[in-house]
Amino acid sequence: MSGVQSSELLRMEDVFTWFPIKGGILGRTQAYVKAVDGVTLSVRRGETLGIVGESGCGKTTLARTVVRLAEPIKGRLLFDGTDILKLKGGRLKPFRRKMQMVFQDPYASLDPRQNVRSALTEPMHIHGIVSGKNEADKRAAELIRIVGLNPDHLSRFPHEFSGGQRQRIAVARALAVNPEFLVLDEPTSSLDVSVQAQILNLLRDLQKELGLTYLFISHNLAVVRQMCSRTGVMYLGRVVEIGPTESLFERPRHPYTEALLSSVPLPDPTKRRLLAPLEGDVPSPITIPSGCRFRTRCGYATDKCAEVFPPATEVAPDQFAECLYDIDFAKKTKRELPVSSVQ
Amino acid sequence: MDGSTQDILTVKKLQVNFHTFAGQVKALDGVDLSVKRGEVLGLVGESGSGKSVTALSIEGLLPQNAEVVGGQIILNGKDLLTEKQGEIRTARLREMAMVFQDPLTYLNPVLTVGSQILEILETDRRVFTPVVVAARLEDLNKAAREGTLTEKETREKASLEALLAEQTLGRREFKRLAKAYAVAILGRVRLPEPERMFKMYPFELSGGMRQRTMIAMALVRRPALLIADEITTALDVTVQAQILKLLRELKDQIDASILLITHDLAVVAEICDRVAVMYAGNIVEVAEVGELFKNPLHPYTQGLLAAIPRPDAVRGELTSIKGSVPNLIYPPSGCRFHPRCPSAFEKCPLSKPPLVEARAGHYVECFLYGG
Repeated sequence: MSGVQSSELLRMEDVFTWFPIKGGILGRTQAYVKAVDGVTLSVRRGETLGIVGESGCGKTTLARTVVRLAEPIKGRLLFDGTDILKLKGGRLKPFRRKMQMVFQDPYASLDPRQNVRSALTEPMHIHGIVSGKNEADKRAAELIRIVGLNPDHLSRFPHEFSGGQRQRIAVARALAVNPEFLVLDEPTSSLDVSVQAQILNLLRDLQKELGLTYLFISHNLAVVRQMCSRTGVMYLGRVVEIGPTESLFERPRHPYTEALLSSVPLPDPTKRRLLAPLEGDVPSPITIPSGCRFRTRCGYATDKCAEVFPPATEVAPDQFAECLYDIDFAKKTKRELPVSSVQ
Repeated sequence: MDGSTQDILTVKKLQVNFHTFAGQVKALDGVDLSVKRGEVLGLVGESGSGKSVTALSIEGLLPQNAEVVGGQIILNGKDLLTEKQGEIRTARLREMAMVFQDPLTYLNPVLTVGSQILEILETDRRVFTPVVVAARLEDLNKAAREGTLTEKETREKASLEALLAEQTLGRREFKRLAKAYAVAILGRVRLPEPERMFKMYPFELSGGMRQRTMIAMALVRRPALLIADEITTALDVTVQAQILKLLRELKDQIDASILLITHDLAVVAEICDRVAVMYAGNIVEVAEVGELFKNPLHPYTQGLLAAIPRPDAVRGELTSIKGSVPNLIYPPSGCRFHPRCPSAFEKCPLSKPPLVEARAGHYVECFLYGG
């Protein structure tokens, strides 16, 4: 991928986040769970970059690594040109303010014994962005209005709110410190469809008004299609394909992306597909297959795939895939397609 | 909807309340539902709509604090709310099976897959004797047709045919046949190496394999009705696709009706024949799947369909339904959807709208369409 551009707000270079598995009498490290296994990507200012993948592919660890909730063992993480992996304590704090996170489950991410006002003003005081209590309260009232609730709600506690309202509060809390960059980890997965749409619209409006940049983690491909300008597809700790959402969805170039997309049922009974292109399950992130990690489930895989590590190649403008073959070529040469015929 | 004989299951005016410290939760407010023989009926709704309570009522698994206030649940001609306990048990055992969302909660972690299947069959040997014998005979007959029957098998076939008439089977003989049958069923749900699977423990299986095991356990009883409650919700899309495909294939083989409970309209679109939409304890709309997606009538269904993000096209602003699902301790008066409804008028808060047939086979509970 091309070099550092000024439009990049965040850049990850060869980031590895491995978790040790300890065991035995001496408690030695026996192996590693390779949750993020060499990810290079960049998030451009003002865009929404979506990360999709199945459970266990490392997308949440990726999100946590970005905001330094999980420590990578190797790699560079550049925020606005500064490698924040080298910083700690007081020097990291200004960057903590600039990037905030919204978690999946608003029932777990809000302190049940803290009222909304306190949840919103606490980060303001920590980062010293308000001069006193009155200013903080004023700002809290403003924030709660921005996310579509009203100032009466400030003195209430999380249990008094529905899931959708709680997620609005979590968004307000993230915005409390004037961040530039939000990491949204499955922000609507625990919500019902009708409420999900409300939160997605809110996030979109906020992005426009405040000029925010989002890293949007989701397993829901339909939501990513609606929300993101670019999308990255993760499989077993690596981003196997990344590109503009439109071209990635319309013409996936990595066999995994193709299979993932054709597994999603459409809300349209006239377009039944019932394809189940992938057999079996994702291999363990402890023992990752050699060469291309998708080869064990890939319908186009050849002997070469086990030996050669596929480099990221630009397969279309701004679209990169980690596959040795051109997918159209693979389809022609391979008789047996992984996509079974429509019933 | 009339309870015609082609329905395997008919639920009429079912009302269920839950007693809680906060008050009475009026979870089901007169649910009318019927599942025809051989069809896949989707029951779709958001959380708190009462779809799982409906399923639990049919299954007889309501918790202690629930009370069935009124209504009927008729399974193949028997009312599950009024018949004698023994009758109900046999009816449920013979006619109905269910699969739940989280297979790990329902599988016993200390027993092998095989022993859990055998346990089901051994609960009632009399009921399952014909099933296991018929299954073995099917195999033998197939072998006979292909002319690969050994002498021993010919003798076995004759003795089994005699047994089928008498309906009695020794314990060891039953166990042998039950095991063969269980392995065959594991193969049928496309588990690799069924003999090995038979000896495995749930923790050794992946999420998709566990759900296949649950489906196998449901199928051993050859149910006329399979209740599938959010069976793909905990699974990834690629595995969900595998399970849905399996369900479709099985439906054609086993000749069962399926009541598929889900919150996901895309899953409904993929495999259901008819859909019932639930909201706050009511069935608000029922129609053929094509008709419902093409002509949604109830404002709630319209809102729900407009709110789903699609993976195959980009929409500008997503439409959402304002507000959230009501608290059912104090449900809204009249039509329970009226506080969130964009087309509510004076009549809506006053009384509950009846379920009317607005178009052929398309029922809706809304005053906009009469009633």
